[in-house]
Amino acid sequence: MNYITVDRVVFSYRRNETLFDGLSVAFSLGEQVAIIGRNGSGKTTLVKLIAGMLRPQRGRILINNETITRKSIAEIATQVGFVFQNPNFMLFTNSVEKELALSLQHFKLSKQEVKERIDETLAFFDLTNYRLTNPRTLSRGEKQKVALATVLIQDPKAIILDEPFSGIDMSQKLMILQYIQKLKQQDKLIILITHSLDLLLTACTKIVALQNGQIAYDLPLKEFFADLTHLLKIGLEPTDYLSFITFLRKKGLQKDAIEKEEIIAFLLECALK
Amino acid sequence: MIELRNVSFTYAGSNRRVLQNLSLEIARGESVGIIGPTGSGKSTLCYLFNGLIPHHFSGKFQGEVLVSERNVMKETIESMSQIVGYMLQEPSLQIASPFVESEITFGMENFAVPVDKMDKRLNEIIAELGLEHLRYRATADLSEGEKQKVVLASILAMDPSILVLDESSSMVDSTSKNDLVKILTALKKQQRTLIIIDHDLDFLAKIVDRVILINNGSIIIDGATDSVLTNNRLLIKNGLIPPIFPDLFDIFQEKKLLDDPLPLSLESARKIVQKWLP
Ligand SMILES: Nc1ncnc2c1ncn2[C@@H]1O[C@H](COP(=O)(O)OP(=O)(O)OP(=O)(O)O)[C@@H](O)[C@H]1O
Ligand SMILES: Nc1ncnc2c1ncn2[C@@H]1O[C@H](COP(=O)(O)OP(=O)(O)OP(=O)(O)O)[C@@H](O)[C@H]1O
Ligand SMILES: [Mg+2]
Ligand SMILES: [Mg+2]
Repeated sequence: MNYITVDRVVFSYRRNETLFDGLSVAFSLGEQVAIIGRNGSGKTTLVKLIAGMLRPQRGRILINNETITRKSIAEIATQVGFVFQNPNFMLFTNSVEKELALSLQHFKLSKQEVKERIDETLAFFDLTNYRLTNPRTLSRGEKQKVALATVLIQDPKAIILDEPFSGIDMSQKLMILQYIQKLKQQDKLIILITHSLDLLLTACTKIVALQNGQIAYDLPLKEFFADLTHLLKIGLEPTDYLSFITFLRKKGLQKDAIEKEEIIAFLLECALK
Repeated sequence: MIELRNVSFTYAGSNRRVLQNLSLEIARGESVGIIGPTGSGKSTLCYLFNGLIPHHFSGKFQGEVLVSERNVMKETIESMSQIVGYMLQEPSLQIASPFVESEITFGMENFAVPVDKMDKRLNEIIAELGLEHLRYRATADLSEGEKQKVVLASILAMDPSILVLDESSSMVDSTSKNDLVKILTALKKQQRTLIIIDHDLDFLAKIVDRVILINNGSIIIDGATDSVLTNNRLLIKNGLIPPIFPDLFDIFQEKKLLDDPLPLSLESARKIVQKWLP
């Protein structure tokens, strides 16, 4: 069943220039969706509409079958967790610990429970040493991790991550991906917006591709990447990894093999021939 | 051209030495990648190159920094910006002008570039970065990736002889990233000095000739791109993941199924497979 429904939404920032002219898309619990598209294609705008930070000029948005028209941003945030592209907009207090405590405020947890959850989260994100540090003095990647932690600590049923990896090194990106995989088993909805195409291959099962304010594709991930012309049609050039896979397909690699382990297995076959 | 002698730095209000007795030299025309895990000191190191440390970030500073024979301590950030084009990791902090076009010409105006020359350069840079559709837009209304590209355009427009880019590609789409590779490679051919911090090691591999790995404020290794970025053990030991092809082919080297060195580029990865399956 759909958890988030965007129904024929019309939206423009400026007069005479419509960004979304009747955009419809739906997301269900249990899905891991990547939204991709060129810079300026409207990914963040879509997220802000779902978060209630922008309001559609026509059409409606439903979360859990209720229209969000009259809901406040704070109410919506209890149903969907949002990690925004710029962590500076998400950090308000003068210590990492307070930042996390603030995001647990509306949960009615005991002091002990709050402490435990904060300890756990700091440890997971490798931020324990920064507990009392002012987030403003953190490095960019550390800030991004704190922003992520403030949302993930709430264990939301649905979560929308807008470029959550920027500024974070690859090994920590993978760690966050693992966390996302862990959420997967609990029938949650994860929507990931990223330009790191290689990363979403392991994190997602579905691709929603935006182009010129329209949904150009809404396909299972393997189907989308089975044919690289899908990417090219929305103006995105393949990464070297994807180009390599395309090359290997001509050598006999299965069309739906995209994960690293599958590629290595195929290469091993080649090497031993 | 750039010389650091025994540089250490501790941010004011902190008791951790973020840079620990660093020494390095970068010659004119070199292209250098700076890599290291989150929080390792990469941005802090680069703040030295245009005097943001000590002139903007206060703290305990030791050592000596020379850029183009100038002692950075004795210069101002303004005078350094004549030589060093610097893209901060947070480009939104760097936007100085309400409109895209004036943002791109802002630096050139400050350097009193003649109007006809300025217009020519503006058009060139807009075409190179594919910003035609944003030309008359307000800078405050741009998407994050668009902002990043506009800030980059304004820096490139000044033709700096030293270019420092801190995560300049983190929000740009895959197509623009390829454009960026082309632009930076062209600058390299013109003997500009490039210093590029990026977590995308595959992107760096296509541009720079030399890579410096930093961890905990110290230099772990400083060497040719081909050797540093295929040193999987060392990268992993320092909390990094190797680039895509060294990572994919690692197991083949381990199993002694690879005569060639670990491939770093798409081209060399293809060649290996071609040898296996002619
Ligand atoms: N506040 C605003 N006012 C006017 N136009 C805006 C505003 N915010 C965004 N836009 C424009 O709307 C379009 C969509 O922007 P959006 O931020 O949704 O893109 P995006 O797909 O998230 O891009 P990126 O990959 O760069 O983050 C862009 O052309 C952008 O310039
Ligand atoms: N203004 C500041 N005051 C105090 N400490 C700071 C300040 N800026 C950065 N630090 C600390 O210095 C260390 C190095 O930060 P720096 O920004 O140089 O890291 P980085 O390698 O660029 O990381 P990233 O990959 O996240 O950008 C970090 O641990 C950070 O918390
Ligand atoms: Mg965006
Ligand atoms: Mg940094």
